[in-house]
Amino acid sequence: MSKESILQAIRNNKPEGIKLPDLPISPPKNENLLATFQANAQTSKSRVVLMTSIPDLPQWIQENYANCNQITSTWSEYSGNVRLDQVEDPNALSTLDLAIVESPLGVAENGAVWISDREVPQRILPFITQHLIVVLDRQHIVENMHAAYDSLDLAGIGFGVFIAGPSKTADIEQSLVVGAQGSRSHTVLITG
Amino acid sequence: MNNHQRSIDHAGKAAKFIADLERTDWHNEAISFLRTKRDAGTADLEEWEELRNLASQVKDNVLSNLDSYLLQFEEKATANGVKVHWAKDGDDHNRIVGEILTRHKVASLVKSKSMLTEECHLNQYLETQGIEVIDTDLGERIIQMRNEAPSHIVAPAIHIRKEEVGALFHEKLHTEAGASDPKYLTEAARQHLRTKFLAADAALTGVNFAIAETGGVVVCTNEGNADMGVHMCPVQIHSMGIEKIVPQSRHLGIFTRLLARSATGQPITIYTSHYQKPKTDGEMHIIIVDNGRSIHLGKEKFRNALKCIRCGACMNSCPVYRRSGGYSYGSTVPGPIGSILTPGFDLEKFKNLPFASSLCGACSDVCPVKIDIHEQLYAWRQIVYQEGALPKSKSMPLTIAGKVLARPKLYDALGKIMRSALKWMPKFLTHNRFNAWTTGRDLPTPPKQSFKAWYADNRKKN
Repeated sequence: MSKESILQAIRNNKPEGIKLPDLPISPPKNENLLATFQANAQTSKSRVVLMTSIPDLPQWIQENYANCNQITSTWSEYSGNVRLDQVEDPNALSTLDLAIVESPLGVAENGAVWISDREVPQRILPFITQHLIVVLDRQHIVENMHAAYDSLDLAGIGFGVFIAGPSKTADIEQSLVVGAQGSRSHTVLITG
Repeated sequence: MNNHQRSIDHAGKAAKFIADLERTDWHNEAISFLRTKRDAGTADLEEWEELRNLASQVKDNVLSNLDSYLLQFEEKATANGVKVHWAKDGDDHNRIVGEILTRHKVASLVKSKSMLTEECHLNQYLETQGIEVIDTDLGERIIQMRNEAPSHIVAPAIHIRKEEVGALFHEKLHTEAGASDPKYLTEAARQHLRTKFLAADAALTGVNFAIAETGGVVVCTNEGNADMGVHMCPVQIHSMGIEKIVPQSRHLGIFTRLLARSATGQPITIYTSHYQKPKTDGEMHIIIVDNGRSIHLGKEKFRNALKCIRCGACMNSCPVYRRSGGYSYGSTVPGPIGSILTPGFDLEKFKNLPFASSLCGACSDVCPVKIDIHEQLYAWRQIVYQEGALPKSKSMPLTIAGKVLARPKLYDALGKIMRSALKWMPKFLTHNRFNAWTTGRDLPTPPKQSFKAWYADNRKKN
């Protein structure tokens, strides 16, 4: 059996027991998490918009996503025209233009938001959609990845992802191009 | 095949690479750009050194408990509904993948970046089984269309110019002739790959981190190609080396902060995906691969190399890699880290790689998990010498130098002779094909006196 021979080789060859170091590291010091989040998200080509700056949401979406015909939303404040509970095959979402989803957690140091199959049962949704809007409560922004993982329960989910911006690549002569395989744009709507 | 032919001739391949001076400069600058971005991305993080220390210590703990962590990982993953497989080598791994795909009658597999499957030559194996394999990372797709291997572990197509990509896509994807705008070419690849994602029956990814505590795996991409594949297909497979373990999810805080900053200067990759359980009605497999790693673990001086998180910072910092290209190493993982990993797997084949370095130490300075890369390069050189694997052009001068340096009087006498001889000796005696040192550089003007004599004259008097 490969398993037993691999484990035996490891046991024969591994170094003496070395303890895990203590965590976490330097305590958080950031006073304006939202401003830091905004700055870092914009560096990764995300757009950050405060809900307080939007007087009429449907109108704002119509203006900003004029070419988006197929829209789905898991956020109670907005309803699209594609109903997710009727979608069984992920291929059916391939023509989706815009998805609006909620995130329970944002990370100030890198502008990333957490989305798991608790919030969005269709795992493919934030990737296959042409454009993505993520709704995030400003109270749910934490300082850094240490704080983020401390607040997550990975064992309780099936899938979860940190998304820090629109899909991008620099594989052709290191020219940054937005819109590689995943969503072409990434907007974080800040509530609260 | 004799031994000499079997070993990678790094110097010879590098000589061919630098014959095109303009391209060498371009390549050097392209790679240096990544290093510059890394420096900018790490500069304002006060705790950077603390993070590196912690990462190194966590990996020490992982290596010293690897067997129990792997068992814990398997137990948790199995409880999550994941099928866990163990592969002792590349063939074993490929056979397991092949069996899974055959059972599900898979005609087309979409793959995201995995250096491990490059190491196992999975694509070639599956293609002989009649299964279509599509690499979905843009850089990987480009080199796959060119029938090449990656030349860099993070930026696999960094050696290719946009005009060449344009010509390739014109031929394969029918883009406009002469078009070389990266935005236009990327859009063409997006459309092409979307059809492949929709048509695929199974997806395979590499693994950046495997969490012993939860039985899940983490994959980092900027393009989102791993997720496009995994969530579209009923069958998902994740191939991981045994060393990818982290003990608990909170340790991901350290490694996710280090990885992208070291690789490209980004604070985090665009997508950091955590696969814990199969999707509804889906199947999820994890293949744990050894392929020589457990043997490497037993090499005390060299085991730290197994801490590597494949960020590429060492190659971006290496003056030799930047000017010789990834292919000159002849190994799946090139550059400084490749040069200390590969001799442990096949000393005869890779014995020249530890010499592909100036030992400047830039690699060790940037390594996010603090691998003592340049010290290991030096230690491998000693082993290559002890094993009698050095070529005569290196071993003979070293043996002579050793004898001379051990005899101070002989050294003094030879020094005296050479100081006057070099003045009148015809150039062809020193500058010839037997002396690689004078290829591309000249000998210094001989000093009037030895340092010993100079010191006696100038310092001892005071």
